[in-house]
Amino acid sequence: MSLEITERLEVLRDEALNTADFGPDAGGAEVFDAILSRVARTSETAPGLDMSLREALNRRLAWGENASAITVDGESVCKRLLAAVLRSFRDPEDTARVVVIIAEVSCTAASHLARNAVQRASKERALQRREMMVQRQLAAALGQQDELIQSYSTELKS
Amino acid sequence: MPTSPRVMTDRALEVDASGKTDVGLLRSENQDCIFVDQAQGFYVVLDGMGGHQGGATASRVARDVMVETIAQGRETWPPGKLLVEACKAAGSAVHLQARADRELHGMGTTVVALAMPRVNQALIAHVGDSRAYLLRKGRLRRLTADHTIVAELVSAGKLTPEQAIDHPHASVLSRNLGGLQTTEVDLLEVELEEADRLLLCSDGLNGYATRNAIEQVLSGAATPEEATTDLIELAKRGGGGDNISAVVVEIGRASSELPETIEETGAGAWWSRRPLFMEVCRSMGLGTSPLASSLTEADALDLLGGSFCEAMYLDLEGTTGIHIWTYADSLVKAWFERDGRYGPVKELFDVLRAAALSVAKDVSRSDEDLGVCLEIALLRALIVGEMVVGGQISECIKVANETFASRRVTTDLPDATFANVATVPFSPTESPMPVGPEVNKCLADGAGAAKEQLGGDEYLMLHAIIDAAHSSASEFCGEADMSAAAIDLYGTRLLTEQEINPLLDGLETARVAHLAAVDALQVSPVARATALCALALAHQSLFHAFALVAVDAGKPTTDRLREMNASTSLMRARLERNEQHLAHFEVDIDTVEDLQS
Repeated sequence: MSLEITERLEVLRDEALNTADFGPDAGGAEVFDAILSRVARTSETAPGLDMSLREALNRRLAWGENASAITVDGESVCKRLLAAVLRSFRDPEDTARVVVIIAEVSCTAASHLARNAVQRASKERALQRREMMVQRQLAAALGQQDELIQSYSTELKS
Repeated sequence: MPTSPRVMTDRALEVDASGKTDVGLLRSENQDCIFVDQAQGFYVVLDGMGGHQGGATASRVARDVMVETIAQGRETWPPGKLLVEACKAAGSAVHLQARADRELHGMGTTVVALAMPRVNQALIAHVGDSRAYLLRKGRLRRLTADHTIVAELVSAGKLTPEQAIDHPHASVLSRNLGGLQTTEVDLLEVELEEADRLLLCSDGLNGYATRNAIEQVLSGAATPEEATTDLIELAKRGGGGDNISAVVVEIGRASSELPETIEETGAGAWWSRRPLFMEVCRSMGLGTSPLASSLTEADALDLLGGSFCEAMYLDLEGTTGIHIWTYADSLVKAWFERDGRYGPVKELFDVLRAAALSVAKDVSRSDEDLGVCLEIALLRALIVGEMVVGGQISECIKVANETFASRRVTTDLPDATFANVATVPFSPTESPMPVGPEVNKCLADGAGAAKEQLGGDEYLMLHAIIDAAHSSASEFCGEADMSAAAIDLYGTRLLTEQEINPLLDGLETARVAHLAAVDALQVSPVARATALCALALAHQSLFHAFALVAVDAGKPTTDRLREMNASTSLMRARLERNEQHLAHFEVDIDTVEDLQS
């Protein structure tokens, strides 16, 4: 896609991220950057772009941000960008191409967050199983301790 | 600027003008720009657009170029041609500057310009959605047609005026100064009469105030300066969501005799009929209004009716609306703060209107002219009061929206190190584009074609996804809440890779096939773009809704693990305590054995 379209999207950054309200570090910047990269697609490959987006999302998750909040951020940015594109682009062909890319990136982000939730659930189920095993061992040890305490107590009384 | 005999030849009638521009209540920067030159009879309102700095730069560049072109070309071109050329030169200058500076790329501006070569002749040039109105004999008439996509669709008969009113893209421009190297400029000529008032304004005014309210304010103001101040205040009270600009030009003696009549005798006539007003209020049950339920009937009547009567007298005496404004504001605000409903407020205003009109009718019996003037003044004051109610209701809706948004985005992870609040809260955005018959057909054909392509074992799921997206796109421009569809899709599945990943793959497959099917249709580019946009929005909403469902589905597992961790910790602590206990026992037993030996 032409460089001109990339530039026209770049000028919509503030509007898409709503930096007027949320400042320069507004959430969802990773989604906007991925859309720009996808539109430009100069040197990076599509899987490469996916990786960048996923890494950015993983970083936010790793910093303790809530997956629901990240999902809502991404959706809001895409919606605002979509509205801005429809208002500012005149050529329907350009508009259609950009709209399809916005949806693609937006869905990639949502899909990644959903898959991340699945992975996290799998991991937590495994941790639950480990925890159950530990608890069984602890219960056995506690049982033995109780018996010993009981016998010591009897011994002392006698 | 030199005075030319060609422009402004007739100064027998007085022309008074005033212009004001205001940033509004929500924007941080004023991108509007005005120019008022009463001596030369030249007035402009420009509304810039195009991101940070771009909008303000565009409107200012355009204004300067127009002023300069008018000054230079006055001797060579006829006024109409000169005005159009000035607009075109301004558009060209903005366009060139936007191309030269990357930061300003995409900037543009609307313009509505008025030149008055003679006092009774108005030439109006305009591009975009800034407007010109004419107030003649108390009636407001719009002179310009907006250059918006929606207006063009209405002109082409593809949309009805009723559909255009609530159209989500009513403000999308089809023309502006700066978007292209050359711009088509509309020019119209109006023969003016004495007492006419012309209003030039940006969409920050007409977008936030009704035509009736503008008419009332413009006809009620004593001077153009008062009119511009009141109009800006009116737009602010209507929300003030955009920059507001207004230029009012008055030809001859426009001020009506109404204010003087009312001030001189109307206020007195009103006050002298206070008992009549109160009696009507009492008979209509104002004393038992829920708005003053804690008071006795007499006190309630005095509070609601007596205060209104006094406020109206003070407003009539000064021909302002501030006392009625204060009366309604304090009363309604307190009511809504107590979670009061709209019904009793409406009833209150119905009673006040009926009682006020009965007073005006009584005045008419003795002095018909005064009665008519008083009736107009009373109705204007009541409109002010109702505007206050509207403002308070919009405040309540805003608060409810914010509460709803915070509930939607605030999810809890108690042990998280960082604040779990969304950085971008949910805010309703505009629908993408209109979904007309052609687009609907396009969507239906696309859905059918996509379903035909998608077979295999998963076809039921894929078809369900396409149906959900199609329904949202065709009925709600893709804006429908897809939570229910996402929950249906999720069904009773477990949150495992085996069960969820096929669903996510299905969502992706259906989305790609659906968009590709629409993209491949042989339809007009605009219809295709509109359909693709609505579909893209629908699919992305479904994806996000599904992601939220998946995240929510994982929460019980997280909670259960947290409980188990806590329980394990307790067991470990108990084990440790028992170890200490046993150690004490061993010491005691050793001591006893030592004593025994």
